[in-house]
Amino acid sequence: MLTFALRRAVLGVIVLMAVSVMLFVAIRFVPGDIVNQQLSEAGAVTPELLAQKRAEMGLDQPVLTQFAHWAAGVLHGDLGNSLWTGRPVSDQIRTAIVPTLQLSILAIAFGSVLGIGAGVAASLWIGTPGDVALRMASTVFLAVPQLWLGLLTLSGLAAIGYYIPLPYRPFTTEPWANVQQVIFPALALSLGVAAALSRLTRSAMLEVTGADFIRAARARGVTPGGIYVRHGLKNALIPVITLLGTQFGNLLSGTVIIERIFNIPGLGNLLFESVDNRDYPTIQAAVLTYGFITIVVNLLVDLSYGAVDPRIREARS
Amino acid sequence: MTRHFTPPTRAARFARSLLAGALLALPLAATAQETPQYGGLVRINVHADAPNFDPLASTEFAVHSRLGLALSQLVAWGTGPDIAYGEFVPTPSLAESWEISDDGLTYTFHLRHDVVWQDVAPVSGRGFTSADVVATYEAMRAGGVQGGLLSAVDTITAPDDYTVVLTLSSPNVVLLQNLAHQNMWILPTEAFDGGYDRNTTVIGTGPFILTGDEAGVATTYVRNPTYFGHDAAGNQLPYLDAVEITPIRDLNARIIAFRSGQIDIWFGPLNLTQMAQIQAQVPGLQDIQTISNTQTEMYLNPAFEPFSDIRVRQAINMAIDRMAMGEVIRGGGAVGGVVGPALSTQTLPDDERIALYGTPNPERARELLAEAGYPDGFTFQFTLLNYGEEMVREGEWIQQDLADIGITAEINIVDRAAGMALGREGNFEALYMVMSPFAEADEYLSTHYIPGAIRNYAGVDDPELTAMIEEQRTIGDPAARQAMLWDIQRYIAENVQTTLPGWASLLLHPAHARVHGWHPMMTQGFPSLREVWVSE
Repeated sequence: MLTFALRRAVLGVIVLMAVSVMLFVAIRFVPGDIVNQQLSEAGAVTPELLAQKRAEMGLDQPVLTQFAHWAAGVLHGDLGNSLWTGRPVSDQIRTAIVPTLQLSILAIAFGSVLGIGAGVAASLWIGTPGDVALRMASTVFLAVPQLWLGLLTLSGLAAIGYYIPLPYRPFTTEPWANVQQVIFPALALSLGVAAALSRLTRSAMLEVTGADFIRAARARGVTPGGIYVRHGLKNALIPVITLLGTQFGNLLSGTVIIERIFNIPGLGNLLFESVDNRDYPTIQAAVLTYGFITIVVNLLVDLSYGAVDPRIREARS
Repeated sequence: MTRHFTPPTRAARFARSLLAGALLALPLAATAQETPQYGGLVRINVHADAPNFDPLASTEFAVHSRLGLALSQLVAWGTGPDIAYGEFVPTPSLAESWEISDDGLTYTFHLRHDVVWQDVAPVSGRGFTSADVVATYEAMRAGGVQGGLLSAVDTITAPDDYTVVLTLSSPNVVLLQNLAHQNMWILPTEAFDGGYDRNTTVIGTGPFILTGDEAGVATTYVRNPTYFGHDAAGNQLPYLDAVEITPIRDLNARIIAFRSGQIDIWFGPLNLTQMAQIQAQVPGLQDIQTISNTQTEMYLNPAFEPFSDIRVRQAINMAIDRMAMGEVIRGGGAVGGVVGPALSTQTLPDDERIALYGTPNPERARELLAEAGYPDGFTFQFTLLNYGEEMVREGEWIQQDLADIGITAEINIVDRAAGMALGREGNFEALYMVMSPFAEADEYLSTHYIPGAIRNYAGVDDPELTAMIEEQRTIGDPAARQAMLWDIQRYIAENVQTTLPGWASLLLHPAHARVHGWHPMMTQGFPSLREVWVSE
């Protein structure tokens, strides 16, 4: 198991390196740079000043040289300074990642409970109006973009006279305000996850409950609850966990829009603004952070298979 | 004889602002007769965080709008119910008076004696002196983004602690307005000798003290108890205890926050439909409307063969029905001009601007195309900077108007940074974008039509035009300068036409009924906030 985990970790590092190189080059091919943005409102700016600013930021260097400087910094644990704010990028990431993780973990928790619950219920109610309603709901929430769902949630709350308090407050200083600020965007994010999970859980449950070992359990007199939860759901969980891992990645990308709509100063918002401002070090660090989280989550998912299914654990051993 | 500055009377300012006619934008709520009250908090939304607080590092609205609460200029924009949105009335700020020599080459500023810096270390409330002004302007000239605003200045000296003398290499009547520019904040000498970090610390002489800034959350201020400003009755300003600037990026979220009363003063784009919805839900809303200080512009690159012929550029100008476009898409506003219409005394008169840019003539446009050798039209890449839905719709409107005369515009939408880069590289055929919020005709002219200038995307190099632009800076008589500015604009319309003005939209500045004394101004930094007060 340890060998397996190490192998996956090494692969993860290689993926992150590949992402870094591709991003570093790709973002520099997009027209426009930070100097354009900083001086965008100015009238009395000379080409000499623009060149001076670019030189100060090292943007006049060849891309390869810029990459070498950046990569050397990263290897020494220094993500550099933001070209936009002048502050260390690592500080910005550290501040922004807290609300994003809070949002993502809440959303995945809501999505898991709703999705797996709805999937199990639909498999139990197969062919009934309840099953049809749940399948229809899952199709709808799969089809609805998170952007629209976020806007609808915000407008719907306002329509009933409830306004999410502003500005954003961290949980550590104002927990009640924070809960109000995070719970609705988390719900908006979770519905897509729940929809995907419910469909997969339903089909996995139907497949498992038709298996011989379930019939044998029934014959042994196991209660219906025991059959579905201890035998059925546990065996149906492998594909569900796999999907959960990929959904977490999707969900992270969804935070970019949701954080903007709900005014949450998270990593998504930071990335959005960094792209807008062509703040290269922050873009690179934010994408690396997203990549790192995704790789860690997928690693955890892989490891969890062993916990759920002893056969996998033994095979890896 | 040396010209002395005397602040204009309110009556004189009122008469002048009436002349501004259609551009007048006065709050509907009458507040002048009410007695201001001290205390309270006002919250304003903006669209972005301030990346840092160094005024020399960027021209970003997000930076300078925030700095304006805490810092002051030597000369300021006047504000009040009788001053129009786009009207520059030079008003004493850190300088209480000034004189301009007869040859226009020497400006002598007499500084206030009662100004102290905010009580923030390391400056800690010391007195403001001419050394601060000299240090700031010299630093700007050495490497500040606003250095160009001082390009006419030859020397900056301080004969004593309360006098600053600027000498110019050639007369420049725009200098006063340049000194009142939204980027020209005066900092203490400690800001330039390593005393503190300008990126993170703000120490000024303005009405509010910046107390905190958290990205994505808020920038907070409290009243500066030692602020030098007083109202007409001699009461200490500001009235407010505190101000909070909240960055809300999403328009829908901003509208909801405003409706709920979590925002008191609106800042940013808002259309009439959205305004009507807000009005239906917010009783007593102040509906303040102005013509925008920006306008859309279409750049035609002469490097693309059809656009090298002025007849083609004129044909495109004649094909676009701007009046209908502005009314339908923006719900109001004004036809753009070589100088934006918000600069009411400098842009061409309305009727002339409408004749030049607001009177489509597709028949004549087709004739011009045929004369230029394009009777069947041609196809070009129309690069559109994405400033939002309405901008895209304007682009599509223009596309349709051009299709009517046989020209096919293929729209490419790019983000702002990319579009500006393409413009500066000359890597476009036609470019449609929103102009910066320029507050002086000279800014429009010198950025668009001087060779090598930052907005001269079309590469205009016309010695006669350059000479005219340089000459208008030297004309001290306002009427004569206005005539010259108008001549320049007519010359450009007739001979250049590489930058076609589009539309200056209606700008809405709603504020809640509890807010009094709010007068939005074209310049950044919320200058009227020092006179704002709230009733609960």
